[in-house]
Amino acid sequence: MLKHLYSNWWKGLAVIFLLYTFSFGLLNKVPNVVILHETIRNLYYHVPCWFAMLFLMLVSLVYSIKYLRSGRLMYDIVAVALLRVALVFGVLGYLTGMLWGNYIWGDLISWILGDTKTLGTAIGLLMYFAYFILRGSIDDEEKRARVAAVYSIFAFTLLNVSINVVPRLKSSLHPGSGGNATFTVYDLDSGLRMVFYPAVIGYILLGLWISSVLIRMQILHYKKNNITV
Amino acid sequence: MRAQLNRIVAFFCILLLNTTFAHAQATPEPVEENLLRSNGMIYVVVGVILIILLGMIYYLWTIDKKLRKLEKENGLDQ
Repeated sequence: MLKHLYSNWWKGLAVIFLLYTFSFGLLNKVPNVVILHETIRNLYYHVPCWFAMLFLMLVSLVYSIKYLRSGRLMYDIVAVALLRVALVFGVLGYLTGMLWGNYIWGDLISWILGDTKTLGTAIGLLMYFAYFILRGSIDDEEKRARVAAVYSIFAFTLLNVSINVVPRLKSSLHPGSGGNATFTVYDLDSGLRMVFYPAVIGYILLGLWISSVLIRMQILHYKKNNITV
Repeated sequence: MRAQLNRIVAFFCILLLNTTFAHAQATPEPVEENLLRSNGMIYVVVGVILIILLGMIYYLWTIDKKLRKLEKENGLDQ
């Protein structure tokens, strides 16, 4: 993947997927579901935030493990940049979820504690915020990278437990948990998937694009300070 | 090249402003049905969203380009 850090074709791909998402996502026919109505379109914009976040965190985890195996500072740079962007997606997902929840679940904030999935997400995001505080507290580059990489393995595991495992055991307002239906049930003609999957790809590519800029900035910074990556 | 691009962007901005004012000054006569006015004018929203998205992407692209220039100056040219 790193060999595409300086290439451009996948950025064009990101633009195409995003343009498709943000135009056809508003125009295509959606199933008319009671309570949700037109807000079912938020599936194209809110949910891909979380998919992109999880994807970026997964890639970051891979690079953390690669760092621990090789000790190359380059892998640490990649892991951090991906996490920074992943957290932006997470926060955006939270904000959009609050707006959506305000109209579908009744208010802006109380379901954060009431719903297992949102509570789990809050815990998971806080663990990743702690990752950056941990990094900030260590000055030595090598040591910081090693400690952060180990912590990131814990954080990823726990985040997945609190986002993907616990909500499935308890009841939740989100689809796919506690016997709640996923969106396949509402969508007999696969119209939702036609936009949803390209949206996920578009968001992921956009996240990779922003993180590639962060990575290249950091490489430049290290290069200027004569640190080998 | 850069200056040219900026000029093109500025041109489109002026064009957009012009159209807005032109509409504001027009007398409220029955307007012709076109694509932008159909379906409760949802296409206008699509247009707004696309302009914002393209603006963001253009901004990200300029940052990318500036970074590329810095990389070249520092011998990180790939």
